[in-house]
Amino acid sequence: MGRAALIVLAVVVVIVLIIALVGFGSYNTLVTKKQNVDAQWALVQTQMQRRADLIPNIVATVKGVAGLEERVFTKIAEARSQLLATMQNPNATPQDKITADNNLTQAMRDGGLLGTGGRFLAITENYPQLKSNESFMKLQDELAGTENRLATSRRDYTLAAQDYNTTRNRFPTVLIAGLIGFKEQPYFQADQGAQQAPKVDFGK
Amino acid sequence: MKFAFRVAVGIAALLLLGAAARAQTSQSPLPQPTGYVNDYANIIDRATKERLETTLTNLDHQQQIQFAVVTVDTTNGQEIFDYSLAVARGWGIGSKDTQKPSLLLLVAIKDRKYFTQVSRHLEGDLPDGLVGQIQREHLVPAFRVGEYGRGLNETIDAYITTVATKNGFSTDTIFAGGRSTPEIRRSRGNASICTPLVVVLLVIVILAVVFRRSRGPGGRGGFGGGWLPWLLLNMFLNSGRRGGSSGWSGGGFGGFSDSGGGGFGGFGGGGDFGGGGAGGSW
Repeated sequence: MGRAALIVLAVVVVIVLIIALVGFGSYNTLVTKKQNVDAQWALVQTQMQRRADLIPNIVATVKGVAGLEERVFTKIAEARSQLLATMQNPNATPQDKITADNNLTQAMRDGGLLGTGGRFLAITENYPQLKSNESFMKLQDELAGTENRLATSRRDYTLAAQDYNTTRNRFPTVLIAGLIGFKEQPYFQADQGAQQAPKVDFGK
Repeated sequence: MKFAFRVAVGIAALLLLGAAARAQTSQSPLPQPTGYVNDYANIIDRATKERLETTLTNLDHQQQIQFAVVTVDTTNGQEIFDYSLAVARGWGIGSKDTQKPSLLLLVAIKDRKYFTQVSRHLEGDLPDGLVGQIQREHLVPAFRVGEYGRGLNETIDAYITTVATKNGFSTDTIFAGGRSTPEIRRSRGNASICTPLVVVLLVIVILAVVFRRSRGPGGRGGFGGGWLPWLLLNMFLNSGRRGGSSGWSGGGFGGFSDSGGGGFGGFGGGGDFGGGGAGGSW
């Protein structure tokens, strides 16, 4: 009897050891991957901020050159201040920021500041005179650069988040991840507007 | 002895597989670079290409700034931004360790599109608006009249002049067209760039084994009594170590480059591009 009890004890000890080892390994992996996710997310936020800072300049230039009406840009201005408010709100979740940023993208697309794919200003097609305005062209490069950086950092973030979530939700890590405070990371939603042609309405 | 040798070859083959696997993680849509200038579309005349290659070699050796120029016929329907970013990251332009500033100018001739990818450490010196302006002033007019070499040359010169002015270094020794001093190259230890060399050397090693066997048992000879395979193997094993002081990155392999400027040792493996830069069409 004593021998059987010893065997049972040994088996239990081995199982506990295995679980502990798996736990430590999972924890270390999760920490590493979470840091990568956080670093990528910081880059995304930098670009969100940069875009919000840049928009008033480009709107002013476009208005000056093309003589557009104020109301075309009202929605963009609203979406922009919404994003800024969300960025500065300490209680805002990444999901809130992602939503606010998506709303700004949609508003810019509706206003002609972004074309399909998010890389060009559709507005230059309606107002060719903008193309000969070097200060406008430089602003356009800056805005396009911001969009490119945002797209790139979003993509990098998503890859990092996918990597982290895969590790987190895999058995047996999924059993302990919630207990030790590792939450699932949100993704950026698929850019629905990117598939549609831009609705350019300059209020004429 | 023979058994040990075969074991060594087996280990070498395994290491090679490892190197190949690592090379595949880079997702450049293009093959590995052969120099700073990679003219896949065949549009740059020889003199201009040599001048550009020399200039960019000088820039890398003297200022630790890596610029690359790539011409292709088409990006096969991919956005030129995505395509050039994949090349810049896949080739690892720039250095991982010293955060070497770097840049990639890529043009797709049949698409009539251009894009300059600027690494994160160069964005401050070359903001998007300025990059766009330089290309509109130097690249687009020349490309419109079909003078591709001149357009690329003048654009790169304008980039270098801008960076030099902002960082306070002289361009005299960079544009001079002379050969750069053959300084000791930094060790790179980048397996993906070494892979072609590794393949060649491994083939030599295998041939050496076959050669020895064909001589029959006990037959000495082959490659000088067998010391050469061992030497190659030794070099091969060294190359696997990061920061090894000998091996591929040594000056002896400068001859693999077709540049006139003292050798292209591959890019540094950085690829720290965050989407900065500008582009357009002509």
